[in-house]
Amino acid sequence: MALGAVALCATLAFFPWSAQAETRALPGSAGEVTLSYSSVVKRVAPAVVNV
Amino acid sequence: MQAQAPSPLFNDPFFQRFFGDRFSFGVPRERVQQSLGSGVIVDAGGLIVTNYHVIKGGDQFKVALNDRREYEAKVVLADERTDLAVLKIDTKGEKLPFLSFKDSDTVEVGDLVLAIGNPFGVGQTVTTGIVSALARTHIGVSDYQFFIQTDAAINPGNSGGALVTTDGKLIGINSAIYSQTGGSVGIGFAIPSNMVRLVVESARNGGHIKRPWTGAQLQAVDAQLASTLGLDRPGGALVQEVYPGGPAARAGLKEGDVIRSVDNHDVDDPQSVRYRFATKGFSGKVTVRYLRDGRSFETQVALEAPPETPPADRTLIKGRNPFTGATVANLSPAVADELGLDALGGKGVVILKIEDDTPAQQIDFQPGDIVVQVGDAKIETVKQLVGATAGTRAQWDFAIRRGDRTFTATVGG
Repeated sequence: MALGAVALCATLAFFPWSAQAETRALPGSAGEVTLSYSSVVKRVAPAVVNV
Repeated sequence: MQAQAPSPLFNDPFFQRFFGDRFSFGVPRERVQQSLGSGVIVDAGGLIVTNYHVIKGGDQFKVALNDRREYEAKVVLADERTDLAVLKIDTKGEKLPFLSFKDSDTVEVGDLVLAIGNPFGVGQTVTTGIVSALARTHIGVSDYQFFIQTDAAINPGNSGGALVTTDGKLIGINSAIYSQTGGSVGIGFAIPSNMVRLVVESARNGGHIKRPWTGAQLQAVDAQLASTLGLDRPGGALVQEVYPGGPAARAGLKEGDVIRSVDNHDVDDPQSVRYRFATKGFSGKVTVRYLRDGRSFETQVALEAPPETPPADRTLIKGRNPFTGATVANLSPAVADELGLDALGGKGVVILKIEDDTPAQQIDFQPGDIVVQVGDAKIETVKQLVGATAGTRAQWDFAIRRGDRTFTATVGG
């Protein structure tokens, strides 16, 4: 049981982005409203092509 | 061809699938088409998924990457029934950036999404919105329709482009819009990634798609039918008929049962059931929950391909007769499934396709038409049709069945 908990914590520590991606929440502050998706777009856009 | 009668929306002139060439600003169709649509790299080796309607009718394709490099592409798989196609480019060993699939069943209404494509050929464009609805099944665009609806602006040219989550995963291929203007009004539809993934896997495994079938004829349960059946609410799929020895029959499903869920996913209509089966692949069994006599039951239904019984005996009709130019086959569950017919198979000879500039095309036969009679001969097999159409006649009398209607005609020989 304890080993399982340690493993879970380790997993969350190594993959913080995965854990964050599963969270659904309203923006918490005005600052969060100004967040940008540009980093996602930079990662994703090269995989979209014209046919 | 469509499996069901198209939705009234589809007949509405304002309903638009966004074929790029409809918006080519006066460029004649005969010329080389530029920027037919968009596509998504789903494999570092150069596998690209797009819409079937983007490549339909073309014979040579070019793919332009985000960095403007261009490659000749070949079609690995073209599946009209899902409106998906898979292309391959030769990268000479270079690894390309690609998108990973996200399980589209994990997406919820309200989730933020990004749409990426090449609207109106202006260049790569990113728009944002939310998932507006899930499981849209009455759009009329493809046989396996189960669309993710989004208000992210998608326009002509976005076809085949990506719908991604905010963690950069592919959850859909943008495929259609509803519009009264030709441009985005915030109602776009994407094919879910779980269906896209299945088609891409088929492309990797030789390019032939096989999908599991239920072996049951199903009907939507509307409010009136629900009332008649004594159900507490509409929804689900009523079993009208089961194919003897098929998966549904072997699982104990019977006429009158109402399927309410497949593998714990609620189903609201036959399209939803079909989608759930189709996206499972051939991986054992699915759990089907159904109502019978007001009580809920569960059963395991095997995932297997529809049988080709009797053998299709695909034949191109030749000679001088009304069917010349039509490729026909003996009807079976496999052939019915291939054509998107609701029928479980039954008996008869069905038209699969029609060559251009042939008598069959001039008479306006359509794929899915069932040949009932030629002259005095009742037609139940391809061999009988070939025999009945041999030789010449002053005039030809024939009968065909299209949907629920039977047509008779006489034409000169």
